[in-house]
Amino acid sequence: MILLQVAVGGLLLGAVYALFSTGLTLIWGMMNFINFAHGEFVMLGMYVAFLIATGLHGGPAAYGPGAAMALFLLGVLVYVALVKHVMRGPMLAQILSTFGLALLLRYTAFFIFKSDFRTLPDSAISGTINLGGIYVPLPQLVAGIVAAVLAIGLHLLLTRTALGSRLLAVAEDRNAAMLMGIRPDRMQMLAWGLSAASAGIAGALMAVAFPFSPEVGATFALTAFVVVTLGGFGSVPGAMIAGLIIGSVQAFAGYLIGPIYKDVVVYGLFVAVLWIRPQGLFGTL
Amino acid sequence: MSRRHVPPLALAAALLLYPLAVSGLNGAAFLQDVGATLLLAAISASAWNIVGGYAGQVSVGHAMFFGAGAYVPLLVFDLWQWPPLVGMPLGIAAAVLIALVIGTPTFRLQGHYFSMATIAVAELVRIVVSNWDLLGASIGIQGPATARGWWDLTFRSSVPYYYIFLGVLAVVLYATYRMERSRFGYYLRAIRAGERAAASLGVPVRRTKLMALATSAAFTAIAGSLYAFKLGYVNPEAGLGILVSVQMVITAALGGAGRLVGPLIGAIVLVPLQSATNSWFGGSGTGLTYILYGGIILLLARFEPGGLIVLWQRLRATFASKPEAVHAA
Amino acid sequence: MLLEAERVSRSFGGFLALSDATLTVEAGEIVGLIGPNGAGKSTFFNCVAGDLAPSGGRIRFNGIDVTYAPAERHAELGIGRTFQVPATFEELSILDNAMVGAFLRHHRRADAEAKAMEMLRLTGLDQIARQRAGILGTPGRKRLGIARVLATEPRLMLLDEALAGLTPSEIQQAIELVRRIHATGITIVIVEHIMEVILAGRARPGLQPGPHYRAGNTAGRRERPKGDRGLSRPPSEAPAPTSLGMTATPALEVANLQVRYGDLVGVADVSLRVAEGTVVALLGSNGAGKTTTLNAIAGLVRVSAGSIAWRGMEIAGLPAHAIVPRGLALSPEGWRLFVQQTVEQNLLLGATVLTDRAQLAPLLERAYQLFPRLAERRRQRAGTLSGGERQMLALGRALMSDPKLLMLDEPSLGLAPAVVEQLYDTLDRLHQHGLTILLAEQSVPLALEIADYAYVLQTGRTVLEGPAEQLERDEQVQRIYLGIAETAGEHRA
Repeated sequence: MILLQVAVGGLLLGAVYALFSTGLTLIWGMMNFINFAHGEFVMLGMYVAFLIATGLHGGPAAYGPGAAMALFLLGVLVYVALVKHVMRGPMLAQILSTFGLALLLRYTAFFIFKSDFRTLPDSAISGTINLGGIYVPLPQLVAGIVAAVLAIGLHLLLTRTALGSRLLAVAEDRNAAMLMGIRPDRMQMLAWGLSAASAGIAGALMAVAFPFSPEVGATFALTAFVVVTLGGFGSVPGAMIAGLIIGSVQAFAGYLIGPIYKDVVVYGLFVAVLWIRPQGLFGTL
Repeated sequence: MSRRHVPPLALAAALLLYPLAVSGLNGAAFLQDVGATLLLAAISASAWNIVGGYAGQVSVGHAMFFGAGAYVPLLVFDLWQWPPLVGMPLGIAAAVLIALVIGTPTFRLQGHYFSMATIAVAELVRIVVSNWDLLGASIGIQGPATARGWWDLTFRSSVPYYYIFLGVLAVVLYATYRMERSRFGYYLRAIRAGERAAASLGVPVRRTKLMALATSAAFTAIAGSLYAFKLGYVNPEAGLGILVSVQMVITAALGGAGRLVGPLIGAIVLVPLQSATNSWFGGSGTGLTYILYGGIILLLARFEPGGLIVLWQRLRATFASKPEAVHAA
Repeated sequence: MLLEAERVSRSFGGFLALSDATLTVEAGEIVGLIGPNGAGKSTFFNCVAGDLAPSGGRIRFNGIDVTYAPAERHAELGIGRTFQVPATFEELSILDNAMVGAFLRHHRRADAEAKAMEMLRLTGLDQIARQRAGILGTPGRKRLGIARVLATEPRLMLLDEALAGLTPSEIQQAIELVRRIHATGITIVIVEHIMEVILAGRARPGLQPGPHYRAGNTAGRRERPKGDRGLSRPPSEAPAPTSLGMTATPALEVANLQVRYGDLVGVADVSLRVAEGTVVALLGSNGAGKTTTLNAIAGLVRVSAGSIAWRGMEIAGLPAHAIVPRGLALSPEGWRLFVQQTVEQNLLLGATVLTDRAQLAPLLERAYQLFPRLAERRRQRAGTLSGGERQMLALGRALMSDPKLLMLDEPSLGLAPAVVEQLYDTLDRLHQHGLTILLAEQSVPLALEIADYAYVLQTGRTVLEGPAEQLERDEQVQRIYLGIAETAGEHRA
């Protein structure tokens, strides 16, 4: 029974991982670019929720949309001001650019918010719910379900709408997309906005359930790397499934070995995937 | 002596004489300490430069090699009271082993995988060490408090360290210089310039990358050991933290990645800058120094990834083409 | 036997690029691989060079099996190759570039440098050896590519279109160089479009046609007599062939078009006119500039000089997304379908620029009527379609923007004769309904059957033009192109 509880907790967190990892893999597949500041986007989402709660006295319903809007804008800004220019340059410049951005964002947050862990004020979402013998904290449940819905929504947006079709067209064959009259630059800008927004919402959701501080961005970035590698280069469905897997593995590792080692197991799994099956579950190498 | 040799010789002379030159000033000890720190940063960055600069394989997890070099010597002292110096080769071996574990699977994939793997494994090592009592957990390990002999390398003043570091830096730079001109060096640069073409010319790409990583790891471990000797102490944050890795990358990149003296120039600019900002902004606790770092890296990546050396060359070329403007005054 | 490739095949996902390709090369020969695009030459070449692992078959060099050996092993054994797009090490000096090659056999720097300089002298680059490779133009880059490989002391050299993009005089120099290299005892296999090279070098065309490799597309030569388009239409309404081209209103007018990629000349001087409601054919072998011309009109590549006017409006320099809404659509070479998406999604993407969304459903219907097979497969991923179906989808997709001018780049490539027949029937029908068509084709007979007017391109210039029947009878055209297209397999020089 307790194992089931651990599993449920892992899956719920995994859904959140899935949400913020889809953005990373979308960008990777589209532009062959890894955003090393992706974890910081998640962290900023948490702090946007915090500011909404404490500064604007908004309710939990506002966290997600607020984080989405703020981070969407940030994503677009990062693309236009930075990424667009370094994309065609040397690898060192590409990696350094988002790495530098990550440092900038992280330590600015440190400067403003200090290093203490914070939580969001208690709101309507609190307490524990009993699902047939399993006790699930309500915040985790809400976070997980909303994340799952949004991740699926993102997938549907990409595969079922005209806009998503255009995004994927640019990802697959830029020139052919141009012949359709699509503007690749605009699509890439949009992709960055979506990627950052989904990271931000994921952060806001987690802030409801867990304490946060400016340094958690690094851990989320690494988690995202592991998820997109396991899921496969550029595969959004892959990232979603891999997210659930990583969440579960982490939960079980934490329970069976010890809470300190939950991250260690995940990083070790990363190396194992690289050794054994680098193309991940759904990627093509 | 040609004009070309003047700047390097001047630099070498300046480095040699620096501790003596500042010994009469107020705060001499502090200045000498900064000097030693500068040299240590130059050594680490030069080590990173081999795989990150020349070969173009960007590792952001070099702290794990640095940490291996720092922890193992202090550990052998902690456990068996051996002089830390004895532990240095073991630290190097550990670093090389980690390098092979990471490099072997990732070097057959795109560069992104390698970079991500270095960050992940460095973090993995840091977490494991932080929770392992044998290695001091989050508190760390201490070295000899007082010297039992010269071999403990425990000095009161920074000056002996300064000269030891200078010696090691000279060795690393010389080794890099020889490598640059060797077959291995050419192959590294070819890999960075175009892997597919390099392979078509017979360059054993994976093997070469692995050798570069192993060599880089070894030198980085030496830098870690030197750090441990000087400070007499290491903990997971200072030895294995991500900021250690970032420092190496930015120091080399700022000066000029893939250039012989790029890392040294980067260190000459950044280390004094860091000391200054630390005292202005009240220590690294507030994080302002790292905001500055982040900003520098961003600007570097966006506008001049070649670093200061390339920037300097570009400026010189611009002015050289307009002799009238220069002489007009 | 120096090189022996046996039944080599290679597929990419579901797409069979190469099947049962066989080639033998004796030491000391010069062998040319020729054939139309899509025949699999590059894929085969990359397999032999070790850049790509075949899906099946065997490759033996000097008796050693190198089928799955990595590129560096091939180089070690004595196989050297150049790249179609020169892959020089830009940041390194010219000498350093060559030294990387030289270091394969000479481990000491002094020896490597000597060898490298020797090769640079052979290729005429020794004077600028210390300069950065980035300063070189395309001819220089190609020479450096050759010098670099020569420094590895190969026994077999694989030259991948070493002459593409060069001017005629540069080509002569290059042929000389290839001759000199051959004279030193190196065996050469050369992929080349420009026939003179093969013939001048006394090369033996060597790629055996396998089941996938179609010996030219003339197999699709149509039986119907000219003039009978197969549809019931009063003769008075059929466009009179002789009055076209020069006197009718040009819908599209290209004047002295020039497209350069850095130093590489894609198009040197092309002028053409397409009258409203006509079919104009662009003929020429590979590398002649057909694709570049179409890409320039479509806005995919930058125009270096010249003008492109559509219905009186200058469109040269406009990006692709601004050109499609103006009524021009291009179905590119190789179709470039979005294979991850469905047939219907591909079609809908073609309608991205449609301003009047009410037109969308009727246009989609029209596409399905024209191509019933697509309707059957509308929810299938485009990657699962056969070659013929892919062509249909590409054509359908291009039509979804309701264009007034449809451009097609080598639509018959890689298709079975029956499919080509169908395709041209469809193009005919579209033409009857008033669509203006500009068509680039390697298969001369096919194109001239349907065209009203045609232009012949060679090394980036328009060298010949005229009404279709006139060109059909022109011996020059026949000699140059029909000769190649018919017998891509065996052709004695």
